[in-house]
Amino acid sequence: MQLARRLAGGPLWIVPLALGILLILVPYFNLEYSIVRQLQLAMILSLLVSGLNLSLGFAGELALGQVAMYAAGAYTAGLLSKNGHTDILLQLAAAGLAALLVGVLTGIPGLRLGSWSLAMTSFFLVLLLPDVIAIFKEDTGGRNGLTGILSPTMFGRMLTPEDYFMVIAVVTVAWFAVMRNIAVSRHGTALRVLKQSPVLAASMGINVFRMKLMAYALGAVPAGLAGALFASLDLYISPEAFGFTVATTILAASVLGGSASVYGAVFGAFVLQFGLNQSTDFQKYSLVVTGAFLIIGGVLLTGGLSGLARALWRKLAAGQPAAAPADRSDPDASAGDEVPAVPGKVLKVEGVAKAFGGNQALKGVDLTATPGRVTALIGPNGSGKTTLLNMICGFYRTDAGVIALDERQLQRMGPDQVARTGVARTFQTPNIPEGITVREAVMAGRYAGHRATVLEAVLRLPRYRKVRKGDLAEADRVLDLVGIRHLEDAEATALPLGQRRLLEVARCLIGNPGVLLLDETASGLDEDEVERLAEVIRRVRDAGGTVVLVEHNFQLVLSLADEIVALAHGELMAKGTPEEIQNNERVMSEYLGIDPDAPASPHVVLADVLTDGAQDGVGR
Amino acid sequence: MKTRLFKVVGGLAGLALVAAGCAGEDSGSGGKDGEYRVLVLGGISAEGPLADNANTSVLSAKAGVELVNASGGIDGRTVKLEVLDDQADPTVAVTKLREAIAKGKPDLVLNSGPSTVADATLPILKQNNILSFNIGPTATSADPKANPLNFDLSASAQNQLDAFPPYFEEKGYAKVGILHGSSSYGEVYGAAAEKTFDGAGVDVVANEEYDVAALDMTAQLEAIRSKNPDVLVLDAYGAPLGYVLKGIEKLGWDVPIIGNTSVAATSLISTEPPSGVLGTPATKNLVMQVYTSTAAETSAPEVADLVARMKEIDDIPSTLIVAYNNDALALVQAAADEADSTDPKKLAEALLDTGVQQEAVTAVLGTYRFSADSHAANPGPEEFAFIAPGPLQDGQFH
Amino acid sequence: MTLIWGGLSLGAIYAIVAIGYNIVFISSKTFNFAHAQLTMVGAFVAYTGLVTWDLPVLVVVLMAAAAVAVIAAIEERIAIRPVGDMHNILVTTLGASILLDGIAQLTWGTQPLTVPFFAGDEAFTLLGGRAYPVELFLIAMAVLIVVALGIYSRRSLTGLALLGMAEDREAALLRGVNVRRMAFMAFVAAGALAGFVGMFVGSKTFAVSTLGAALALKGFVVLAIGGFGSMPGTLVGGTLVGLAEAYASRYLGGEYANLAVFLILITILMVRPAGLFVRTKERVV
Repeated sequence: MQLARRLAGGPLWIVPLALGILLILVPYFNLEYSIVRQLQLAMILSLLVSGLNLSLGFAGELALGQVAMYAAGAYTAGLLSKNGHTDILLQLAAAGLAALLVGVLTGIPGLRLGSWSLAMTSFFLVLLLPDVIAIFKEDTGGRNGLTGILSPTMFGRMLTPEDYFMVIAVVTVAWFAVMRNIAVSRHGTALRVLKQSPVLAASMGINVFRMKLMAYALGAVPAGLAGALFASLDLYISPEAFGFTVATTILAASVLGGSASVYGAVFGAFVLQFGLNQSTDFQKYSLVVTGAFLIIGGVLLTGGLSGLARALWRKLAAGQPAAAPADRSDPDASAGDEVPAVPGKVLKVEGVAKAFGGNQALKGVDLTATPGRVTALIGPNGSGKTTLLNMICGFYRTDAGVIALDERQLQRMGPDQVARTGVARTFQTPNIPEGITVREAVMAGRYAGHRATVLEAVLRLPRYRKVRKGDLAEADRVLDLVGIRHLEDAEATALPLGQRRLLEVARCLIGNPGVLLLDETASGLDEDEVERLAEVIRRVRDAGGTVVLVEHNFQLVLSLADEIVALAHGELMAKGTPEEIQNNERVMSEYLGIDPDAPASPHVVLADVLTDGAQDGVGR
Repeated sequence: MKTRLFKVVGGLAGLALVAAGCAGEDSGSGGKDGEYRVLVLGGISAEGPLADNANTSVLSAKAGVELVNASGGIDGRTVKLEVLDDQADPTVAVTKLREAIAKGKPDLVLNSGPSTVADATLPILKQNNILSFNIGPTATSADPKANPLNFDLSASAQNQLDAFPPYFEEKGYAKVGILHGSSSYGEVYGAAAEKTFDGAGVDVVANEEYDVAALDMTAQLEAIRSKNPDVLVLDAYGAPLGYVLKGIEKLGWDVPIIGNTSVAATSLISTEPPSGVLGTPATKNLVMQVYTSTAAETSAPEVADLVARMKEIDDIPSTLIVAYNNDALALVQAAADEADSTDPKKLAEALLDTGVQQEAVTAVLGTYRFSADSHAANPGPEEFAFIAPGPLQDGQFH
Repeated sequence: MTLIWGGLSLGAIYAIVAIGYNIVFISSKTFNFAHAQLTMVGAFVAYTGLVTWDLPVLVVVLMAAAAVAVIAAIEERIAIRPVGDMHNILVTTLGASILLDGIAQLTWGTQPLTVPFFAGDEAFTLLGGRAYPVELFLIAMAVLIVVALGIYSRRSLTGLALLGMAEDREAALLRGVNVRRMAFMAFVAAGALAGFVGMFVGSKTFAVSTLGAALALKGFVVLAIGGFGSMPGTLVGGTLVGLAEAYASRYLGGEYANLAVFLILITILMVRPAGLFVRTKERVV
């Protein structure tokens, strides 16, 4: 316990690094050959699993074609070696590139599909491998395999088996260092955003397709490396080594180890290599054992082994401030007095119309939101509020009309482009990725606006450091602004609803948006939380931000809005100041259900409406 | 990947063990009390067909031992047989073999398992200078430079194919179509068949491949039929054989079919309906290549004798193709007579002697033609027969 | 024409597997990777009933349907219900498929077994092509199943509830549909269907322990081509895949059969990412 606590205090990467060094030094321990062999295969498998984790665990894509890239790497290295290029470094580089190429080529059509189609297409790709290898049997040796691969060398020196073990270990450790650097960088966070919801990612300005392709293609690299390592390890490769069973082994290892983790790949690979492949006593029952293992593993380990480990670690390290988000409510204390400027832009919606099939959701709607003002959008359910919001954000195409932010027209842009132009939004149900801290969740809002490439992130180059510094500073600023700075290290999804809403606002603000769209932000909040939220909105407005508020909470709207736009049946019903709307009979009767002639006290009815609205929000 | 892993792991583990220990023991003297110790490795408890094959192999070894002992033993020494169950698993085989050698070095090891087991055990046998015979060939098992004391008993694809051209000539087939599976054996077989037939001046009009996982081969059959061959040479095992026969019947294609030994090993065609197709129209044009010894009609008197001896001990669960161990013992007996010794090196030398090869009373193959260049059996065309399918009884087709 | 009959009948088998996937997908938005294996077990049970026990065809069909329905029910309980995550279901049903392969191998061995067809095993000529009766029967059965399911889903209350669930699970839940129970029943029904068709599939393909693996992916390809959730799509997908395989094997060689299917799959999905019969929905926030 004590040790765990102390360790938890220090940098966490020490542990894997120490294990990695231990692994590299294995040849000096005089282990039995069969164990050394298993270790080598487990390392190769963990590289493959790690590649899958990038696309499956981080980007949430069921792309299972790792074996194809593994084969591409292996055959590239094997053919190079056969032609006399035995330097393992050259082979690794070439294999990595070949795999990357296969990744990009198969990713571009594959990722358009998504979900199950993608899973099946990539499985099918694996099934196709032996055929493709057989068709090129002149070079590849067909189904009988590629023989004549020469022993690997490095800088002209022949590698002994011990040397070669170290090569495998160093490559594996190096890849996991790279993987870890990606995972903890802004790219890792962006991938989690993508996995959480492509809609969220797009609304944050992330190009969903490019991001998926990046994860998938990047995941090809370790598979290619693994292929090269395998080819020079056995000096013989055949289609048998790249079959469907390998694909399922990789998938099983990924899920069992925990797809959404860096080191889960190692756990999963070692468990499968040492556990399943060793069970020689069950040979007759090997299929049954494998099947049962997958079922039990899949049922028990929802977060994978690493999920279990993490949970255990948290228990051990309990008491650390990071793990316990204290709900100190001091929005004003930490906020400071000076609020930096939020340069808003003018959002103009003119004559926008949209039909879904025969259902005219919007027709001829106008709306203008200007900097330094809160514009509220109200209307009964089904009146087209959310549709309009989605059209501004670029999720729906307009049938007619113009949407513009300052001078730039948005209606033809994709959602990510709209977001990069300066439209930021929150969601009815807070949309926050799992497994990241409040600070990381907020910093993700700057991902699209301030770029640093993956390579820069992996190598921690100056530009990455600069951007990262900016991310941290800006996160401090906006967290102060919304008043949840004290929770910055808490797990974002663990926050109560009110604070998650504030977190979303902060995530929007960090990108200095031209317009901030708040979609039913107050629903489900208690009075205190609503008040705090209102305070934050006022502060943004006072700082010069353009705020559009879609809201059911009429009281909040009245107290906050400078202008109110009321929709009904997809059409503009009324527009004006809170006073004007409050006195508009049509709004009162259609939206609030108040009969102006009825004697009942409007207060009671209003309260009913408020609770309805709140429940509505929770229900979603 | 799993099988391959096992194969490789097993092989390398064997090497490691050899390197690790066991330098001591002097070669030559062999067993105690003048007994000639023979170890048989077989996957008796493996699954399905593998176990049947292993049991047949072990049975043939027992029968061989009885015969050899009845005729004076090996160089006057009585043969004592020990059976090791390796579960057809190289790792298990290595472990058990090491244990057995530690208890006392055997004079002869008969490996009845698949190539993977041979891969794993050969290095140990070589290290300990033990004479061995092997059924599942590996890349180097028949190479005297790599394994000077090992001999392969089985026939290669090439051996089998060499028996085809004389049969074509006999039947007057001039144009041949080939249909083979997409397994690694099928691919080798298809390529080797085309080359062999071409070399023999037979016209190969079509050479088609089918996916071993496919469910219908009518398309390939139509492609071959369009070239109008006189005969169809077929490589198939298991369900694909059924699909091919169904396809031919469906097409109403009346063409002679010659199946290879894989076809013969598929139980579907040696079983009568309803669970098999023996005797149905599907097999009316089919002949299959078997060892002369596995066809009751064509087999030599030695074979009938072997069957009788084996049956005396137990039922024969599989075909006589895997009854090589009887022959191995007969060969060693003949070699020992010639060398007047049981020293493994001298025995190995004597086994290359054609006189010894002729002399040995073998049954599965009439003559084993080991040479200084190759320790493979290299059976000649006369060792093969082309027979119509029939029920399998006592290890032979009837 | 012989080629067409052969391709169509194989396509019908793929389509029948795809229908099974579809029933589960519509009711619970998940995939039962082991569905092809259920069909395989159906073929084996049919073999045991017809050949080993020599029972009448009708009894065997019902027996196979019941047996496989029970297996499906068990699978749902242990491999699907306790699993929350979609990715994990892929792993657990994959596990179930491997487990069934293993059990089939232990029970029935690895050699192919003949499943007799009740209407005879004599090939005959139809429209200039040769075909087995079972091949035509399979084609007819695939079409009939699709038509019957179409009528059932529109006419019966259960069918409507299922469609509702497919449309919006939560809305169905709110309207008093017991979503879990419905999903379970649909799963078991898919199992019963697999058992029912097993006999006829086995008559064409033999009962063999590699059958499940051979059918699983092709079934998915058919599903992806036709569109997830579309029953008529399975027929079109099956036809395309079956014919593509037959023609590629005939004119290009067996190595190209899978490649041809893959090209068709990719081409169709590039043009219509959700398959031929399913419209891509506009994204909803």
